[in-house]
Amino acid sequence: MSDREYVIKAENLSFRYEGAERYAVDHVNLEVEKGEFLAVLGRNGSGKSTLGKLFNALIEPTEGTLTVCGMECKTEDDAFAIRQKCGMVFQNPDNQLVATIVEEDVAFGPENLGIASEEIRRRVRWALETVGMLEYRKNAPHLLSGGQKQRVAIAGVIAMKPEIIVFDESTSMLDPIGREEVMRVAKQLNRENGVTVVWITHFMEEAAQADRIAVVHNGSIAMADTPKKIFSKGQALKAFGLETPDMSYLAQELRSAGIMISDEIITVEEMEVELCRYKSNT
Amino acid sequence: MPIQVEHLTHVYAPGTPFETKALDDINLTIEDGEFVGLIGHTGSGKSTLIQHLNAIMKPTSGRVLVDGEDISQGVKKSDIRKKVGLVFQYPEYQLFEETVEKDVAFGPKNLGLSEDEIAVRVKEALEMAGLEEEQWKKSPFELSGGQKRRAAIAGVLAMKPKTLILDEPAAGLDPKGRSEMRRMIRSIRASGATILMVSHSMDDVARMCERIIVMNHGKIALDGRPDEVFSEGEKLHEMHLGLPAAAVLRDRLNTRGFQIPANVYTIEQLKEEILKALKKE
Amino acid sequence: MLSNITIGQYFPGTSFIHRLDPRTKILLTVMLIVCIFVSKGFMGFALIALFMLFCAKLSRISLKFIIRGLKPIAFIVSFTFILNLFLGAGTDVIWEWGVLSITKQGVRNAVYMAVRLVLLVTGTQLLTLTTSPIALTDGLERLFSPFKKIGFPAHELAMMMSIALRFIPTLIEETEKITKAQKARGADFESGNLLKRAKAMLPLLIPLFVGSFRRADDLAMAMEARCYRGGNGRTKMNPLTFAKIDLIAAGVFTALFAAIIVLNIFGIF
Repeated sequence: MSDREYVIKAENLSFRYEGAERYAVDHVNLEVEKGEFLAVLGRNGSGKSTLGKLFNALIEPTEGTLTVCGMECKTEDDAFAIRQKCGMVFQNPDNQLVATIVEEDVAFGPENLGIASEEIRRRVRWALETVGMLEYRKNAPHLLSGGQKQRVAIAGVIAMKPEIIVFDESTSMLDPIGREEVMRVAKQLNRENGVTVVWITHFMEEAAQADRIAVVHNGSIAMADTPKKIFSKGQALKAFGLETPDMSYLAQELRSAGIMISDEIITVEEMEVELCRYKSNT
Repeated sequence: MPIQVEHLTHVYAPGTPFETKALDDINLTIEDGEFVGLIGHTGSGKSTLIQHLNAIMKPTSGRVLVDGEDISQGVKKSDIRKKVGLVFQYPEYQLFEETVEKDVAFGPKNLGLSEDEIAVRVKEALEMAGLEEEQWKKSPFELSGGQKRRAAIAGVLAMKPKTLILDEPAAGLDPKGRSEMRRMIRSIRASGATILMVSHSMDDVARMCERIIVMNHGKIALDGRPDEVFSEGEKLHEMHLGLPAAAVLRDRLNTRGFQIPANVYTIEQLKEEILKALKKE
Repeated sequence: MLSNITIGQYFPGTSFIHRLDPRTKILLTVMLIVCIFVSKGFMGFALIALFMLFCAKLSRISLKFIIRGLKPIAFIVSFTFILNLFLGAGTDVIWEWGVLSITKQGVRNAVYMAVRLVLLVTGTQLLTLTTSPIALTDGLERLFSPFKKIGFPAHELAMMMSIALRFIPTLIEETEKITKAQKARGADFESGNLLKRAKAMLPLLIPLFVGSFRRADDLAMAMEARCYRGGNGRTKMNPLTFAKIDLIAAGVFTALFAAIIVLNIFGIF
């Protein structure tokens, strides 16, 4: 395994909110590989967002160790360094933009890092171009659509040149078009810029597009595997308060009715191909 | 008596550079007891339309009749709101009282009902919302996201509207929350109310509604039974609205030699059709 | 729609005045106010008025727009005028009726006060019309930054101001939404006496407060996640720099200031 590079490594990672009886994150062991698109799937209150905040050093582990890009969070300065490497896009697009003008907002992070003005201007331009929002650089954020606001928020994060971006339910308040916009940008950053993505969500359709899914339940990692393997376990998912994508569900239903097609189907395309194959074989 | 919408037009910011026609000559009748799904993109006019149905907004031209009465003409506002309940998106943000119970009582109180009647209604509404009795005395801010949402909807249910309009009732909820919401809506439906549900989700609408209205650019683009609407794949695609996954698979399979009827649009129906097709051979 | 309102009254442009450093504009506006108050006669006022006209012309903002901005103060101007007119002390009585009297000095004072007010508002309007709120906060932050040494929170105040500017439209939108939602539950915000109406505001104000705290929490976390830790060590994408035009503006202004002083010294009214 030495040829694999891990950007996040959690060992027995635990976190308990002050005064709470239960661990919000309960002895989690998880490794995130460099360049991976990992979906963290779980229902509300499962602890998935707390996990994201730990990655971003917004909170400190109660127990266990967490290394992000080789750094452990011990001091304020560590936290500062980790946040620079591991950016975070939050849920509510309205509550994470700071400035009254789009480009000023994107500049906020780099300004905090103390980067030279010339370089900030270059990065802001690049970041806005990357998320497809350059033409809106002089606009006021409150007049943008939800998807556009989230793309500005992403630009604000990538302008800090992080290696990892944690998306904490960043699409849950958007309409279908906005959701698609944000997902597309995240995938593009992952593929073209090599950014490691941790995609926290409760949407099966989104998790299905990841390289790997970690299912979180009651603060622990209940399952971690490829989407195909995860979604073939419909019953188990149901127990964690989750659903299976329609096509995985249909595959399981057909199998139990005696049509022995593959159980690793997620998309409509895969189902179409599989059913046609089955039909011509019989 | 139904809700009738006649030549309804609404223009935002008329006479300014921001002028936009949000609703353009809408004609529509919703019969008693119907369960209607209203879909369309952000900006298609859905939200503007539903706000006209209980006189939160006033038409620029045209009129809305509830039980045969023009609601923008001298009808008491509280009388309309008794008949047509409107639940906005993210209704949990309207919660304000010390306890869930008191919050739900806010609507009936505004209607000037007696204490006894209010108590009865609050209880009924909370039960329909599926909230346990131990939660009734809690602060609404202590509930989970899905529970808050249902408590807020109970606040409108307690006014006993004959027609209930829900704007994206499942937005932001997780799968369990969504299925609890569906259960709640079904039980409201079972109580005999007319329901108009606004949604972005084709799958939710396909699963629940008996009639679907599709809006686009302030007009009604499609209106019919789900199987009728979902057989218009082309048209929906032009409006950037997808079909439910089952309908997409149906169309794709049919181009590859399957013969699945065009009125199939749920996974359950599709499963039966596929079984029929494959077992025949 | 309410959410379309602009905060402040910034009128975007690229004129000479627009391009001035906000610090220059703030300082010169302060000086202009001083000028207005030290002027003792019509010559001085006329000079200032001419100068403002010149600035307005330079900024390419239509006079109509500036005059419209004066409307809200019309009442205050007339009120001060009348007050000064009748209550001004003086000996040369022109008109008398019971306790009311108008004196020559009174008339002069009244006219002066009115002119001063109009000039004052026009002057500050020129500042806010040509300077974006962000530039204004930036300028103020930099101007006050020397006082950081004695514990004056210049950066924090500027940050608060810009966050407020950012969130005012959002909160207005939210107020609209909650108002509608409560109306749908039969809330009545319009009728009843003052006490009743105040009480009726609670279903609006409580959710608004709760929502604002939630937003503040979210925002604080988002800022922290983007490495914010106060003003120390921060840089700026567009740092403020004085340029040649600032020097020119300061020069012209000093000339005006000198002229006013000369007028005062030689008693030319």
